[in-house]
Amino acid sequence: MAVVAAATVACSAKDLNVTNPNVASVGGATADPTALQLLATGLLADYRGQTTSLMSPTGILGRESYNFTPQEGRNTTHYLIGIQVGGVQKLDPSGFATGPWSGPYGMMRDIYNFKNTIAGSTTLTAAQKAAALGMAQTFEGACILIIVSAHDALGGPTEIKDDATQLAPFVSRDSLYKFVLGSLDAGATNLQNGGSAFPFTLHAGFNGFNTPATFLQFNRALKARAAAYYATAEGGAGAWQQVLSALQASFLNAGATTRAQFDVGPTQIYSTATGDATNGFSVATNTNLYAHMSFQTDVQKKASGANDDRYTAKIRTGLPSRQGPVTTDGPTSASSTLGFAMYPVSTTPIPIIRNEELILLRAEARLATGDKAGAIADINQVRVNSGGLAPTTVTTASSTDDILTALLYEKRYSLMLEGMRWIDMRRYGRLNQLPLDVASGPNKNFVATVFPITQTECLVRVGKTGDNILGPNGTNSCAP
Amino acid sequence: MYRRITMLVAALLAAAPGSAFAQGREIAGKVTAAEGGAPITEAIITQFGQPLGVRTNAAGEYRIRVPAGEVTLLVRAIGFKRQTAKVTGGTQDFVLDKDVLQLEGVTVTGQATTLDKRNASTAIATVTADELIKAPAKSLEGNLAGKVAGAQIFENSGVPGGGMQIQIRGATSINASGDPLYVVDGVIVSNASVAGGLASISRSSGSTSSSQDQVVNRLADLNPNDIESIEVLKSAAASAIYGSRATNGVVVITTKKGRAGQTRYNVTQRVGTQQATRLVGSRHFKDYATVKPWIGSSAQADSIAQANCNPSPCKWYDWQSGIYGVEDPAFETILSASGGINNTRFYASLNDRQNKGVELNTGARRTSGRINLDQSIGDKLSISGGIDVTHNFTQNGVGNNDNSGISPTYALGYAPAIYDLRQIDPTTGRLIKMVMNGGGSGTSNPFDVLTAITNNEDTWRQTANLRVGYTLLSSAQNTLQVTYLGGVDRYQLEGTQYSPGYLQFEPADGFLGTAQVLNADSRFINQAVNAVWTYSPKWKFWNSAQTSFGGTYETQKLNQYNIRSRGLLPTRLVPATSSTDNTFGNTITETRDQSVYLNEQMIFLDEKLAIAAGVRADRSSANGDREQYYTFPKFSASYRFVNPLRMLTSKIDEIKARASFGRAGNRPNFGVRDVTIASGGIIGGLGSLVASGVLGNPSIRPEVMNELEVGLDGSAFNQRVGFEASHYERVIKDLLVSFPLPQSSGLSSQTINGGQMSTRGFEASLTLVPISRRNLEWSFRTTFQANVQNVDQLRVPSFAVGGSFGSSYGRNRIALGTRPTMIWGNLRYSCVNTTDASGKLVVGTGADGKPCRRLAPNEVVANSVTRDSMIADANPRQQTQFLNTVTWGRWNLSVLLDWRNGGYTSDMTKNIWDEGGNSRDYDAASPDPAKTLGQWRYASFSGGNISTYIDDGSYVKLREITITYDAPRRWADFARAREMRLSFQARNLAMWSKYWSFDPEFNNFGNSNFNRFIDLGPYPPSKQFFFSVDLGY
Repeated sequence: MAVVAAATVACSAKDLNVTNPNVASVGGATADPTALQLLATGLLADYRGQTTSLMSPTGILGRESYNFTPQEGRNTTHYLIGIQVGGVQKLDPSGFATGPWSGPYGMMRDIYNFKNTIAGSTTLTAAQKAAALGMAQTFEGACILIIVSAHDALGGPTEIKDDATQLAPFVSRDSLYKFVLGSLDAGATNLQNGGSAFPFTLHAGFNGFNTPATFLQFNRALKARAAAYYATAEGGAGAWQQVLSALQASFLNAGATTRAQFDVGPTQIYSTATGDATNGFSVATNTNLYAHMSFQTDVQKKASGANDDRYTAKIRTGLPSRQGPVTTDGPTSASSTLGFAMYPVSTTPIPIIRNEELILLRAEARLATGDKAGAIADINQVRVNSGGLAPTTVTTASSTDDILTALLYEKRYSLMLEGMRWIDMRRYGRLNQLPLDVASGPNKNFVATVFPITQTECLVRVGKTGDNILGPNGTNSCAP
Repeated sequence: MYRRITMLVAALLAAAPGSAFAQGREIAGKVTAAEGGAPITEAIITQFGQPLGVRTNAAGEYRIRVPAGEVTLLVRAIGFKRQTAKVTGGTQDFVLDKDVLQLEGVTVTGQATTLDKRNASTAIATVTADELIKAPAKSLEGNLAGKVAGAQIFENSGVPGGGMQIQIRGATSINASGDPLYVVDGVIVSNASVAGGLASISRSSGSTSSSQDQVVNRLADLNPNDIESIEVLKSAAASAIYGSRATNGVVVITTKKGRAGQTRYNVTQRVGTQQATRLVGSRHFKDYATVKPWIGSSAQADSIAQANCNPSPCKWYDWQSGIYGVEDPAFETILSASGGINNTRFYASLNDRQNKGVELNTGARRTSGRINLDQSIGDKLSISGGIDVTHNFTQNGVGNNDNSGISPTYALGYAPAIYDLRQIDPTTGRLIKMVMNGGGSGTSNPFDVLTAITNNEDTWRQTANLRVGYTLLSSAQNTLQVTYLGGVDRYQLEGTQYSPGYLQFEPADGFLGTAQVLNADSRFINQAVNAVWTYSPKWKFWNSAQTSFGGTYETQKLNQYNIRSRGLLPTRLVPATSSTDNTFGNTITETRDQSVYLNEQMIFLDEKLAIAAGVRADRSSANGDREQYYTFPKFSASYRFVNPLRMLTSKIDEIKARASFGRAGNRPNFGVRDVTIASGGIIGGLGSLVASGVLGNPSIRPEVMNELEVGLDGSAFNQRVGFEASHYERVIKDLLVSFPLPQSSGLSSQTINGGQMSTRGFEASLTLVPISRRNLEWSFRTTFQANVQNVDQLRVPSFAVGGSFGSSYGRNRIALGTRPTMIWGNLRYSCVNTTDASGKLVVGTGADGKPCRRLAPNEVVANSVTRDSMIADANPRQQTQFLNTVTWGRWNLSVLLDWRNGGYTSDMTKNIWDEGGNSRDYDAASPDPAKTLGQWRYASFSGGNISTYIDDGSYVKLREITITYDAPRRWADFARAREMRLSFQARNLAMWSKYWSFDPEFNNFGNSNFNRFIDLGPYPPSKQFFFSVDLGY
């Protein structure tokens, strides 16, 4: 009996410690000396995905682009027609047009883990920690800016809970913007204290912005964009002042005249190496990406009669005509023969934020703060040098609204498919000016004001299980 | 010399403390059969109430040492009724009667304990060697089919060499293991399903291998001819002794042991053949215009159609009979030897079985050898061990889902059979190309493919067990025995796939030629120590008590790696870096478990009342908390009413009432507990780490099943009638389900213990012996089983079970308050629901003004909508088996029929053949005069009502027919043998069913807990015939 007892007890719990060799444990991986670099690169990889995740869906809503994937007409219909809820057209929360949601929050989770790793590090100096934290906070602001840009008045969470099964509270749009600006400002402070170098390497897309001091300029550029968005929401005049002050600390070069000068700014880079990603908007990789014909009809002419240089450079014409699915009720979209030419090869980088945008952001801020002359000067700087057009016809005598119309034309053609158009039109209450391909009938198009909170998020939040809690068509009962 | 050792051992034993043999006497005698008077070997003689005894030798003689005074001796032998006698003298002979109802024997109650069957307090399912091997089967599951009440046994496809599943009392899990635990002589053996890698060629999934690869589960390595008996522990009270691995039941297999006496040799030679049981046939096209829409765009196909349809009707070629027409002979040779001298017994066997499959270029060969040794050293120490070495080689051919155009019953659905595919192309010298269905690289000529392709699995397996028992104490009232048990089960499986670049379909993926090798290395080790104390107080109301205590330690490890090359140089048959596209993978899973247990079983009231209780505590590396013990208790009791109606009639021999409660568990899957980090890909030449979307759950627990079982067993008419009936209610809680995390947490899901499922069922068997004369005996046995399952609780939104094709093809769905066995899929309704402004669902009415209703196939109303709905239950209403055995002189006839009533399937094979306009009954009349039957079925499917392909899988199968003839002595003399037997054996001889395709048991996805009803272009089923000669020496 004693033998049995002894043999039974002899097997200690230690014998059950089996390591899973197929995947890395969080503890194991973060203890590795290369972990900091790998985690930092993880944030950059996340960010690459998130930048484009806003470009594609807002391009469709902003009537800049189409995704005419054959056999998948929902890439058109779910954006342009949506579903009927209580007699109102909305985007389907369980459909294709749900915009960026899980992606930015996935990046927020990685930032959370990254910050914990930094905080727990015993090898980093205080300056290195500040630099790393500054970058993380900058990206934090960038993530939530994507969320609030896409979901606007619906709001959303900002907090990452250590226990992922716990629900972070939904906060209002105002709180989201305050979080974005707060994160960017906190990041700026840390970057200022970040010494001369990051304790990790940034990829080549950040060349020129890869030290704490220069990364700070990128941080301020994002701050300017975020503050401008906030200014047209709850932020008001105070936020416009923040735009102007942030731009001063950014890489704004208001006197830019060449394409290279306009294009200064960090980029998302691509390569064909195994494990890396290619540019999904490139002519070389995506034959389903079409441009809206209104780019052609609305383009302004140069003195020579030729089209705006930006149109000529960015739009491909004469493509085989394609359109969304045609149902028994007729077409669901207009057809198009236009494509985009910004990304000629699959490794062409995509800009994150460019000097051209900063100049136009300054124009917005100047206009909003009553400096019409300054605004018109900025508009013309871009219009003449980037578009090759004659100076704008608006003058300081023109109404603010007319100057804004002129400004939005420049933003539309300068920042084509960079995720601005739909947001700008919403900010200034002009979504009703966007063209509807199908104006009436069962396939009537509409312009969604926000992306819905996804059905998946909704189901978890309302805490119910089983089917039909929202009905098959679903509505947003998750939003506060 | 020998005497000196004996004396030495005797002296040692005498000196050992607690020796109980100082006083006493010896009883000797002989045990013979009542019928014929032959001596019975291996009968066990014990002193009543004591677990240990002696066995009779080859002459039926025994000799047992007992204490002084009157003792009661009990004699038991398999196949005979027990007998007791009070003995005062020195000799006692026994004459035993035959046990037709199989009431004798023991049932497993613990790692080292058993209980007499007649006292058993849980439902028992035992299959003995004779019943098991009536007709050879491709894998052990096949031998068991129709023989175990409560076990549903499925054949996944007709592939020779294996691929079958046993499900006991319904599915117990959604995402964890659904496989019973298989224990062979105490060794826990692997029944893993390692996908060989056909998907590398068939591209049925995006991966190099898939569960759709006609996977052979590894129970196929076990040689059924070595098996003495199988006991299936069904109820949780019975299986609780295996703790957290036992919700799916435990199959306890005992192999043959050596028998005392002169060595006996047995030789069996079988010769047989196989034939496809069913083929789906194909459409006979009446003219060119009819076939034209179905031949595809190839100009060559058009010219063939024009030529071969003139004059009409079109020519018709029986392609399938050619592809599935292999009737080459099958052989099986079994050699065994058994014997024992003094304290040593041995059993040794060699087995070689080779057979072709009905599909071209397929087959299986299993060669195995086993040695079992039992050695006793003195009265106290016994050692037994066994070693088995098996080589199992299967050529699995091609079947099931396919995206390359190579799976014959899949691809031919799109190819009108109007020309001869077995012609040689004079320019290439090879078989001509398939020109139907487009004729390009999306299709192929199956005759060519099956000849050229390699899809083999080669397994070497070694299993060994060692059991050492030592009797610490043995007296009239007390015995105490300790045992150690160790087992090792190891195999190495090599999967080899090769598809030469010249085949028609090869250009489709951009690479010419594919080669893959897969290696799976599995190692299971288990060890157990037990102490068993038996107390026999010899009181009338308390007969015995047995206390056992022990522990186990088990490890299981599987290491799989594979390499696949595409774009092979024509010189290569195996992967190489010279190929264009190379991928490789490696996965290792390892689980370790540890347990301690305490069991108590007591017998009271003149052996009428039996009570058992026990508890096992388990911890496992698979659980979140590896130090936490989870407990699995069991309680059971039975009472025998002997001659219960003796006031009225003496015809009722005995009725036993029993009830049990038990708990069993099912471990979380490997890796569920681990919180991991993933690769975020490469950017700017740098690697990255990001959070894994699936969050590990460090608090994951085993699934737990509680089961209550009540039953009545009895016999009547002097054991000419026997019955057993059990009702069970099982509740499985803490089911492992995938919980969707809020997306705003940044993660996607986490496996949690978040569901509860219940099963209630009924099992019964009735045995009759209508005729029992000297020369003629007829016995009839029928078993019945039925169960219903329900999802009681679910902490996640309802979800479709993984491993299926989606709502257009039917699959199981786990939804609160519904049967998880229901097939869900698209149906059409006469209304459109809407939501109001507040998001509330508004159930619409149809445009016809009537309430919303299901539409019949092809019924058209305005405003109709397709919804994913419950269509039919995949679980049969009931399954009943009938076994008739007639013995007439030297002849014996046995027939086993298996009737499944209900149980729907998703007949995607029929769907494919309708889509290709090629089904055999395509032109038959349908309910809609405007459509032919094939058009009608397919139009309904594509219109959003798939009920035309969710079909009733009821069948009656003639599972086994066996005719044996015990040859007269002079025939045996002719072969210089002691005895000779001739047999004709047939398996799966016929199936009567309205099912359209091959077999309702089949499943494209192989072994799975749910979704095991998807018939998609499988390897067809076959029937096998054997003629056997058994010779005994």
